[in-house]
This record gives sequence, structure tokens and C-alpha cells, in this order.
Amino acid sequence: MQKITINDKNFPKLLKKIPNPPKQIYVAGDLKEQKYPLAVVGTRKMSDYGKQTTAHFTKELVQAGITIISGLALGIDGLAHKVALENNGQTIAVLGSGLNNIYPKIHQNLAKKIIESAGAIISEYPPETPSYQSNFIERNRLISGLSLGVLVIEAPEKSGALITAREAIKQKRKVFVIPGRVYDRNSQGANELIKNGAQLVSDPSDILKALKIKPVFVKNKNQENLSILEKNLLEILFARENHIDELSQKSGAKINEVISCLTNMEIKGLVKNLGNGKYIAIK
Amino acid sequence: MLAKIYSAVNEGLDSRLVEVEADVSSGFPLFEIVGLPDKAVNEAKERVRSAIINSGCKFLTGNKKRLIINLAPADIKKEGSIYDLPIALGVLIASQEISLNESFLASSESSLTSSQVRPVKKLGDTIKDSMFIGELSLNGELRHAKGILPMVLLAKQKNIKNIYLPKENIQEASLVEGMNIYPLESLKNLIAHLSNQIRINPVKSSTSWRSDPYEKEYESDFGYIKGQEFIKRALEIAAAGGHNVLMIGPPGSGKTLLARAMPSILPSMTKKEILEVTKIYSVAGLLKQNEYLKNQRPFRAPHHTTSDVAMVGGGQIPHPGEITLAHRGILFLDELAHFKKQTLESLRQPLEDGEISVARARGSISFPAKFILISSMNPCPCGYYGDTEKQCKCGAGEIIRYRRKISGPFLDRVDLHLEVPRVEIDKLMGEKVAESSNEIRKRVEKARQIQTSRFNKKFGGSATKLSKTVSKTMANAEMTIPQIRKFCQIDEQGEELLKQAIKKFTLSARAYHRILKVARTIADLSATVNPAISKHTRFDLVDKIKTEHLAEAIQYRAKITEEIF
Repeated sequence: MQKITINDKNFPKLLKKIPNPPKQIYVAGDLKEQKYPLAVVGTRKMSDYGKQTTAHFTKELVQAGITIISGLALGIDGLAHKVALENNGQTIAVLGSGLNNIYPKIHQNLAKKIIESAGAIISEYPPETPSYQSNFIERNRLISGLSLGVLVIEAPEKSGALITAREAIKQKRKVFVIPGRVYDRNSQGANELIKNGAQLVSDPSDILKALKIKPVFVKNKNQENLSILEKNLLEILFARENHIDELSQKSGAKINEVISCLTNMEIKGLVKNLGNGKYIAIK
Repeated sequence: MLAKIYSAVNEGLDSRLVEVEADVSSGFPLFEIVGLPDKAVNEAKERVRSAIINSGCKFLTGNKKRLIINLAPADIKKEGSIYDLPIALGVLIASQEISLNESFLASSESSLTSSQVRPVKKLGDTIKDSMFIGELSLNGELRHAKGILPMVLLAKQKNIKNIYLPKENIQEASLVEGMNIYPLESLKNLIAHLSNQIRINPVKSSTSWRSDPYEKEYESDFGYIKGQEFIKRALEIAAAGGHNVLMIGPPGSGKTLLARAMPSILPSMTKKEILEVTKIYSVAGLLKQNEYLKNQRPFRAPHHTTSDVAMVGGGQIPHPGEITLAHRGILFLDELAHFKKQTLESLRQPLEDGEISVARARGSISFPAKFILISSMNPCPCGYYGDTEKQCKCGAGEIIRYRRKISGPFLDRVDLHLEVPRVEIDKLMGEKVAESSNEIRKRVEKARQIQTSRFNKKFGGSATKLSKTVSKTMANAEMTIPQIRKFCQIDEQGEELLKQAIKKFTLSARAYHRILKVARTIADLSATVNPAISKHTRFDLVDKIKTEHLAEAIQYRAKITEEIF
């Protein structure tokens, strides 16, 4: 762990420019200059839609060389970190507590993995600081401050993600929002941001275009050599999420065949388990 | 004069011989029972006295008024009312209302026709060869007694040929082969029989009893449950390999219904298993009036307020708990997270060992407890986390705390973790008829048959450290780590898949072994008869597990700690 003060040449340049930068930051891991840092934030209680979009967007952004910055919280934050790691990307977690008091505890292992895979965890508070609620609100300015822009996925009316978005506006960073259904609780805040002028994104390439990043076409090698049933299931899953039972019905395959097929495809990274026995294809 | 009558006392699930000694002598009027009687035994005094008088005999006449009953061995606590009959008979003999020197028509030759000459025995010899069990009512009639089966088994072991007991207990007692069992209506009945006035014909052990699952009616059948194919498949695996199950799902998703249908797909019970279970229910006094045989696998669903003693068994004189009553069947714990932590933790040892040893100040008793645990819980305190229809109102921290109530070591003993979604109404109305339990059970029985042969010593398996209370049938779920190494071999492709799965899902070493065990069961379910294998087994017992079986098994891993949000 190292302490970097604002006058240090290693201090992140983007962070230096914000209105109220921290005097020092504590860093565990590797904080080398990131080419395209982007914050991905959202609700702690995500829906299946949130899981699907986070997995899809984060994956493509990481493949295009973007570093994912988030807050290590439950929900969208944690998932964004995880997906970044799964795709061998770099990711940075900004904590609201000291580095020796990782919160939430359930993500301690995730933090360890982030450091191990050339990422970093950062905090402006001394290592032993416990998790005070007010610090978490303060830390949101660091998440946006470290990034070129903020991608908001699923935010209800009162959400930390909205604070991050507001900080981003103050810091003159871009705000991207994935729209949601108007009746969903989890979309209220996100849609409100769009109403107020944030950029609506419906495809990862929208973000790449806005940040002037050349999109990279990574061909999923695993998509080759698929069995007939695998192709069949993928087709069904591209349309919308499906329960294992539905997949068996629609494809006409036996339930045990579908189950083992899904495990294989999940390991290959073609589908995602949304919980409750539901699956979705990852684009 | 002194009389000695045999009876029995139950200790745990086993019985011990009790000698009921009655001594009548002259002296100050007294009626005393010694030999650690409990309240119910002590009250036998009043019942015996009334029953004897109301049966037309005299109770202690002349100057012989001092009556002592000793229940030997004197250091074991006797409880219950079954000593009424032996005490009454002892009193009658001791006070010479019945003479031991009278000749008595011997019993065991009852099949001879009346025209043939019956051998004649003295009554005293017959008494030595008999056991008496039964509670008396005041008018001398005999009442149904509990815990008969272990006593009859004991009698057989001790070479006591004749058993006299209430006629309601006759069927239960006749499960034991080679005994003469005399059904009694009343004390008067017995006196008349012993003094040759009437003749009671003994019942030989019933000839045709066996478990016939195809005629049995189960409360619920998988055929009635529409949808939930994924869960049904998992329960089939659980039944086939004896794996424990945890179902997580919102209220109304059918968790309870599915669990209740589980006994209907379990393999039918062997004669040995039926005796084991019947013995337990006999001792617990849970055999219903006209039920003498437990030939259906038990299904126990204790409420979540159940104490740990009620769960595992105990009490001053240890009684079997819920887990023992679920022996050879299903223990269903609904709302798992609401059970007391201590109650759940007390299940850990029996889940591992298949038996529970209850230690009390008076010594320890082992009860068998081999059951399949089916547990269910909601995904969060309000029950709707992840539900498509209703919004969950719980905070993230609340949900984590709720799920933490189930300890890691407990979850380690659960092989199949399932998420049960709510079934939409239109699917319940679907035209497709679900597979009936009978069909599923056929596959389960085949898989069990393979396992029995595999773990049989003859084929290179090894028995585990089970005590004598539990017969040694083994299921895949009970495999030890050396056995997993031996019987759960996978090919290169499978190994590659497992390696990737471990990385992708961060599986622990424990999870790894669980997956192998479940995969073994899946492979057994899909095994086909191999003509190249010896006739005896018909199946290849140590064939390699295929990749597709492994892939399916990975699907049932624990997801409770992985990515809650």
C-alpha cells in the first residue's frame, strides 16, 4: 500500500482537476496511467435487466480497452468489477472506508482479486478508517473524478449512483445512462437523468463513439464449434431471458441435456446465469 | 409364595428382559412395586387390583396380605403401563389363585387337530417360556400397548417362544417370524386359557407382508405437479443418490408441495428397512391403532419452533427425535432460516454419521438417523427477492444477514442447491401431463441398485463406520473421499471442464467433491445395461463419469454465497 499526495507526480491527473480533490490517496495495487477510465455505477439491488446490461456493456467496454472504475458496493458496482476481471480487464475500486476495512466484507475476496489482476483499490481515508456513511457519499466524487465519464445502470430515485452522476456533471465529465422501463422502481433515477440531458446509450458502441475510442471486434472463439442444441439455445436466449424449464420446452430437448449444455456455455462465457434458474445470452 | 413372569423394557430402540417377581406373604397389608418404576408403573397397583376382582378372582385373601412386586434388573428405569398384565398374573400365581402344577395344553403344537393327542405340560413350565405384555383397564380388558416390536424381537433372541399381548398388537408382533403370539382380550380370557377352560389359538407370524409401492397411495405425486421440471429433475437425483437438498424460492413457488411428493419417488423399502422403521415408530408410540407396519417411507416436517432435543432425541429416558422418526425417509425443514441456530447445528453430526447418540446422565443411547434432508427457505426476509412479479422490500444488508443464518458447515452437507422460481398460472394450465412418480421411481430404483452393488464388499467397495443400528446400504451421497477417488473417475475432457468451472465459479475443494458425488448419481441414473458385464450386476459399476453428467452436476452447486447481488 502506498500513500500518494496531490503534489506527487503519480497522482492521477484527472483527479487533480476536480473542484475539491483529496489531499492524498491510499492505493493498494497498480495505479499506472489508465488510457480510458470509465465509471460504471448503479443500484445495490439490481434486477435481471440490470445484470444483463452490466454484463454486456462492461464486457464490451473492457474489450475495447476501457478501465472500469466503481465503488466495490453490492449490486451493479460489484458485478461490473467481476465482469471486468472475467474479461481480463483492468478495474479500480474506490472505497469509502480505509483500505484495511474493506466494506462490504462479502467483497473482500473481490478486492484481493482486483489487486492481483493489475487493478487497484483506492481510498482517501487512512487505512484503519471504519465505514462511515458520510464518507461513502464523499467518495463518489472520486469515482467520477478518476474517470472520463460515468455510466449509470439502474438507479432508483434515491441512489448513490445519482450522486456520482451529479459529481460528474460538476467535474465536467460525461454522463451515460442506460434507459429502463418507466414503471420500474430501479429506472426512476436513471430515466430522470436522461430527462435532464444525460446521454442515453443503448449499445456499448455509443460510449466508445462519445469517448472517441476505436471499437475492437473481439471474435468470441468459443462461439465456434457449437453443437446444434447450443446454437438453438443461444438463439432463444438472445431474444430474452428464459428459465431452464422454458428452454427445455422451446428447444424440445430433455431437461438434463439443457442443464449440462447451459453449464458448458456459461463456462465458455456465452450465457449468464441470472439466478432463479434464468439465463440470458451475452452479446 | 413367589412367582416369576417375563416381560420387557425398551431402552432406546432395543429391549431388555424384565423379570416381574411377585411375592405374597403374611404380614401387615402392603402392596409395593420396587425396581425403579415410574408413576405409570406404580399406578398399576390400582388397575391390577380392580382388574383381578372384576375378572372374578380374589385379590389377596386370608392372612396373606403382604405383596411385593420386584421388577428386575432393579437398576433400569421402567416406564409405561405394559407391566399391568405380568403383575396381575404374578399376583394370581403367588396368591395361588392359579396353580402352577395344573396340567396345561402346550401351545406350539396348535396345528394338530383336536382328535390327535396333545402333549401335556405343567403350567409352570409354560410360564417360563412366555412373555407377558399389556395394560389393564379396571374391568380387566387389555389395551393397546406401544413399543411391542422390539420386545418380541428380544423374546425371539432369548428363545422365549410364547408371547401374550393385547389383541390390538397382534399384527405388529407377528412381523417377527417363528413366534407363538397369543392375542388376549382380557385378563379373564388369559386366566381361562391358562386353566384350560377355553383355548386361545396362537397366531404364527404373518406370512405375506412386504412392501409393495405400486399399490400404495401417496399423498402427493409428481404427476400432479405441473412445471418445475428443473426442480423435479434435481429431486430425482436426490432420491437416487440420497443427496440432501436446499430449495430457495419465493412464497407460493411450490417448495412444500415438491418436498411432500418426494417420498413417492424414493425406492421401495426392503424388509429390513421396514422392520427398522416400524421398530422406531413402535417405541415412539406413533403406530396408529390399525397400523402395524411402516411400509411407506416416513416424511417428517417438524415446525421451525422445534427444540434441538425434539429434533435429535433426548429426555430423561431418551426418546427418538424427529431425525430418527425420519429414518429411511425424508426430513423436511421448511423455512430453514427460522430454525434456531442450535437446532440446525445439532443436525450436523447425524447428517454425517447416519445416527445420533444421545448421552444423558444414565448413559447414552444410539438412534439411527439416516434420512434425506430436504430444506427450503425464502431468498430474503420478505420472500420476494428476485421474483418477477412482486417487488422485494428488503435492504441488501438484511438479505445477507438472513442468508448467513445458515452456517457454512451446514451448507456443506447439502449436495443440491436449487432456486425455485414461481410458476406462472398459464403454465399450470398447460396441456402437457407431467411424468408420474411411478415412472421416476423406476429410474431411481435402478440407480440405487447400481449403488448397492458398487458399495457391496464383494465388488471391492468398503463399508463405512456405521453401527449395528443401521444396515449398511450405501448411497452415493455417503461416499468418503477415498471412495470418491475410486468410483468417481472422469476423463480428460471432464477434467478440463471441472478446471474451468473451478476458476469461473471459484469452487472450493468441498464443492469439488460434492459435484463429483452428484455427477456419479447422474451417471448412475443414465446407466444402461451392459451385456459385457457379469450377470450379477448387469451394470458397469466403475465406468467413468461423462462430461455431460459433470456439467449437469455443476449446475446444482451452492450459489447462496456466490453473487447474492
